[in-house]
Amino acid sequence: MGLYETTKIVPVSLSDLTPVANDVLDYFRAQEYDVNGEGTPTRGWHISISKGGIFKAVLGMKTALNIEIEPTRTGTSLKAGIGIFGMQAIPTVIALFVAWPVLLTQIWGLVKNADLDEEAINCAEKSLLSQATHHSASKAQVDPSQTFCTNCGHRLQSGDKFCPQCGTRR
Amino acid sequence: MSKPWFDPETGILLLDEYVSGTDSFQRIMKDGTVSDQEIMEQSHKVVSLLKELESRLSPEEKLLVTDALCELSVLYVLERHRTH
Repeated sequence: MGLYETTKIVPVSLSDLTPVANDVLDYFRAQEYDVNGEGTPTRGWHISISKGGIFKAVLGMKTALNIEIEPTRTGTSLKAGIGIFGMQAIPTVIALFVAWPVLLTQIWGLVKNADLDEEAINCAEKSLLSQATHHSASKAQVDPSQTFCTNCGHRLQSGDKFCPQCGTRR
Repeated sequence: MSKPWFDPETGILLLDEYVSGTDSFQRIMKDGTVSDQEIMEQSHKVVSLLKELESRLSPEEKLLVTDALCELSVLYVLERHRTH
């Protein structure tokens, strides 16, 4: 897990993550967030949400909580971290700004205080599980007997209390 | 004119907003290129401001500003080191 990023691996694989992305976009749009979503070349989705009070413009560019929904070998990876609205990478002019680390820490603090990162991850996970249930016969593969680490996605054995890969408690 | 360093409501640093308003930053953003001449001019401007600041501050204030500048620089280096 990154310093300014919340991540989770959900052991659900969907052939199309668009309905999940739409659920996340609708959820935050209903709360009057500015939202932006676009598909990635790896069949995932990149979503930005932003609203005054938590996010601010830095050097004229609007900051946001950027949510990545990506298919992985063991399921679906969900990440939520600070970025620039509608952009998948931090522009160089921001990344090289001497006060950017201070601003990043402060904005991330506001996000954590509001539990916005957890809210975004939970929303995406709930949608993933719902979509998997609805399409279990044809489009999704969910194996409830398989357990994976919620931090790194490593497959766990039935007796594992901690992930042998990263040490996260089961 | 007073320039608060932090937003009174959110506590977030406002330095970037003052940077956005400087002529030198706007000029660089406008043409997207940085010339050797611009680097030299900006460097001279920073040195000139630091010298003026040094002459005006009391010893206690100077110590505080020195610490702030150094710690900001340390944080920047740490963050860059972690990113790359």
